[in-house]
Amino acid sequence: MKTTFVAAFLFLAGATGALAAPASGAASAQASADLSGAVGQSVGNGAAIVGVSVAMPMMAVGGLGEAIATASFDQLKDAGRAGRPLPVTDKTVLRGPAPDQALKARQ
Amino acid sequence: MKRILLICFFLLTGLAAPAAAQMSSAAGTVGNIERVLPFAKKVERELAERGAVVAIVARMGRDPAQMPGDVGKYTHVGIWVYSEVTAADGSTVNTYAIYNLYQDADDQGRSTLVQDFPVEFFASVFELNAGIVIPTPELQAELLRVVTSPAYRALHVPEYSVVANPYEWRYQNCTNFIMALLVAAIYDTDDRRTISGHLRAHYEPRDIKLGGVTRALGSVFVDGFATSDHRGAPLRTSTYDSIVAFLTRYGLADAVLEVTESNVREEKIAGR
Repeated sequence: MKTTFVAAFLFLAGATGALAAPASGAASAQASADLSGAVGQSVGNGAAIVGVSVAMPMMAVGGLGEAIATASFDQLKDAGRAGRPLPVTDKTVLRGPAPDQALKARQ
Repeated sequence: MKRILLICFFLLTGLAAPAAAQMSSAAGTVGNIERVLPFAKKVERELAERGAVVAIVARMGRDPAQMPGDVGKYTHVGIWVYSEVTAADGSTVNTYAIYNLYQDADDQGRSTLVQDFPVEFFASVFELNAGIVIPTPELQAELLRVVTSPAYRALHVPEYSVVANPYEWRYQNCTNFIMALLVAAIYDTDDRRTISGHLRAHYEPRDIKLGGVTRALGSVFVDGFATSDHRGAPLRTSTYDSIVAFLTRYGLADAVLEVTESNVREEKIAGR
């Protein structure tokens, strides 16, 4: 009986940790909200921006259409093959607030 | 036995909250924003300097010491895509947008596809440590095609289980979703049955060694832990390590990296 209890304890303790682990995503939403607050000042002084739209490389260059998209990606792919670095911003980019939070903030 | 079940229930429900709290209070979390910001930028720059348009990046959401040894140290995996982002003032910058399957906060038995950015990706981690696999340019191109196609959402299963069977479609977790996208990209298909067939033929998920008591009670008491899709067989699910093993085995990885605050370590890939 005691063995069973110990085993159950260990299994469940281990399991709870393991099972909750990928719940890191659950924490992520809250973390993002907190983070937005924490770097709000950075947004104010221009060190961070809130992204309002995201375009993948193909769309950024070509607009619409798979042929253009592929060609655009090939250019980027070639850049990678040549070992040429891709430019990235020095700024911190953040997701905008969720719709419910955005509306709440306006009220 | 009834007493054991009762105690087990409290263990499960009682430990779940501290486990979640730990993720948001541990070192390297939002409480240490001055560490998260440069680390996120470091990972971003590492990918950009290597010319990676698409990469698979993992984070360490929990203390690895608390994880079963067969799970590995990473708890979440997302697809990073080099993108152009427009700000509210109309200006544009280049950064990585990240495509994630996240477990819902208010219903851990379900998941949502969420796009965020590097600093948000690492905001809630136990340790600032990133596992990175950069696919070959050819696979990057195919992955990009899938992520921008209707197949991306069509292959998402909102019913979440942390131990989801990667060969089935009843439940899904972030790593199984990545594997489904990879196979969809490689074989140019969005047919679930076809994807499952390729996975069974070529992909080995990791065994999750849990006892029968845990397995039985976990399904009852823990949201996001469902095992019915394994049909009584041993639990097996995808991990970052199993994804890396698949990509390196078939020569589909250009680089495998581990990035910490102080170091970048590149693993040697056999045959390269």
